[in-house]
Amino acid sequence: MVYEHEHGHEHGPVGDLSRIEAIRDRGVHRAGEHEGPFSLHVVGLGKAGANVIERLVSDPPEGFLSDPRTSFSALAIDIGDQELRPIRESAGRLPADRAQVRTVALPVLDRASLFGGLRRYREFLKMEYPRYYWNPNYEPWLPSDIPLPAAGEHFPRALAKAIYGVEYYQGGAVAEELDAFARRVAASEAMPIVCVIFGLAGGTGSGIVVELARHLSNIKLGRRAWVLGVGILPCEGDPDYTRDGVFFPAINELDCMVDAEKNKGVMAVWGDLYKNPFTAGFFAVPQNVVYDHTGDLAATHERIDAGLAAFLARDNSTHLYETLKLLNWLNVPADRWHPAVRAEQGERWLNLLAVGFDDAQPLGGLDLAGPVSSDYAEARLFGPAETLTEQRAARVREETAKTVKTAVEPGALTFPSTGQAETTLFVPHVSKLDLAAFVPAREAYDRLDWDEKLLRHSWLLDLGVLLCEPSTRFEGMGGECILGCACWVVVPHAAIRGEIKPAVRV
Amino acid sequence: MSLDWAAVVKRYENGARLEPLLGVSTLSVTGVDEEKIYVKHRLWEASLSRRNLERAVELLENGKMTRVAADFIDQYRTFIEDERPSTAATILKDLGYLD
Repeated sequence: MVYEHEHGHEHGPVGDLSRIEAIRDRGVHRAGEHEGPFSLHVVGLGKAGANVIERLVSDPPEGFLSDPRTSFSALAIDIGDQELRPIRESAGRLPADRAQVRTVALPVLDRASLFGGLRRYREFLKMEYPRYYWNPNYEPWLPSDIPLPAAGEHFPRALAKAIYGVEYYQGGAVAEELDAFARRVAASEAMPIVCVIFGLAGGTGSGIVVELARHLSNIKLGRRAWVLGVGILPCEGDPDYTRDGVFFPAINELDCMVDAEKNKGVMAVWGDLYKNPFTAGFFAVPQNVVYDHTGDLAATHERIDAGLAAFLARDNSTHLYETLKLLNWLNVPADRWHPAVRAEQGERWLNLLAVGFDDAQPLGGLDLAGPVSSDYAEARLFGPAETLTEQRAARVREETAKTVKTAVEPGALTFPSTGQAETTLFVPHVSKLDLAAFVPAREAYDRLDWDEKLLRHSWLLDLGVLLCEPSTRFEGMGGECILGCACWVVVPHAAIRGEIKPAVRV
Repeated sequence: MSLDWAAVVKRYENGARLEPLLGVSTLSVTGVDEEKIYVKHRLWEASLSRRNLERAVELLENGKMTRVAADFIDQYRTFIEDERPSTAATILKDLGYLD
């Protein structure tokens, strides 16, 4: 049976297209009376993550904690205290009985303490996971002569992982605070949503997140809570050291975590503790949509931080919840749909969330390498009622359509609010290959020597795997063994390098 | 043909840079004595025991292990010992025992 339903095409009664139309036309992703309120819990890693928390705490958006049943937790973690102090200074502005704001300044360990901890790593992993293989060939993953920067300087990902791991497994402050954070999540009266925010092209945040997300989501929260990864994409105005190829291993580690097919290839060797910890999905935040107009990195960060904090927290996190619900709706094919079904992420696991931009200006390329196809896109427009015009909504739809070819015309929802007009744009289902930063990062990575490549990795290094290099054990697979044994992952090396094109989704 | 240890000593007595099975070279031989071959990786130093290498060559001769270097790695770990099996494969390939 085929239905013609008055908008220029016809399709079966419950096809994928009709389900996307149901988002736009019926708002099936909108929170109903039985849903909510929501409690937001945020982990901010490195400078980028800490700054978003600082913005959220110092200038809470409209509707944040307005429902007395909601609560809030924030945990900011960095190496050194520079970015964390302002968070503590602002934390008192939130109601003490419903908000917990904590910071952890990881210490720059001296060489003896650092390597002493790394030499014990097998003990730690065995305690964490009884199925851990006690590898007799284990060695610390850092060269013994690695320079140790001072707090506040740039830390390579491999070193940031080591500093975090040694502190975490030896019961340092970060372990205590993660426990406290997880207790708050579990005790939330309102449905908890956990967000882990970090920069995708730095060292500390992207180096720590691959470990911390496993500890928090898979171990401490037992995969019960929604945990969303939020990675801030590189910006054209970033300092040169961020264009040193680090984005290539960082995005690939996440790719092997969130893309279910690749993740199975990791779990096949290392076990289900390495299952994708981002149970709610992963958002990538483009910065050039703002930088193109400000031309100023500090001003860009300011607007991105404010826009992201507002999206996550305003109206008791209803906008965040509805966007996650939309994503899950899109992830499940029509022939398998049931409201309780949770879909796995595919190779198009990246979902762009543009914030902080001026919708009167061109959107630009959304940090994409070129136009992409997606199922749908949704803008949310905020501001005084007189600013929420159809003209404004139409402009956002038109700008979006220049970059994103959607199966159904993008939605534009309006929300009257006080304060200045703001817009967010959500574009689901892009792949790492769609990102403008991917190929240049791969080219930069390929120019590095072995030591430099090693230091830009993080995830699986403790298991002996250098993810982005070819496996020694199986030709064509990824994951060089750095221990001289046979550690690897069941993921094709070409898929890691992005030399296998993802299938077109729409 | 068993492992000719005298030839091993002669080949490695002054050290050698090892061609990796795949990827970038990070491994070299730093020395050899009557019991062990000493290797150095960018991240670690280790030794491979003569006894294990001789046992592997014996099984290769008897057709009980594969000469395909990549597949040999798991067999070495299973039938001989989990003593840097891919390093052992790299050495035995360098010595001409593996393809």
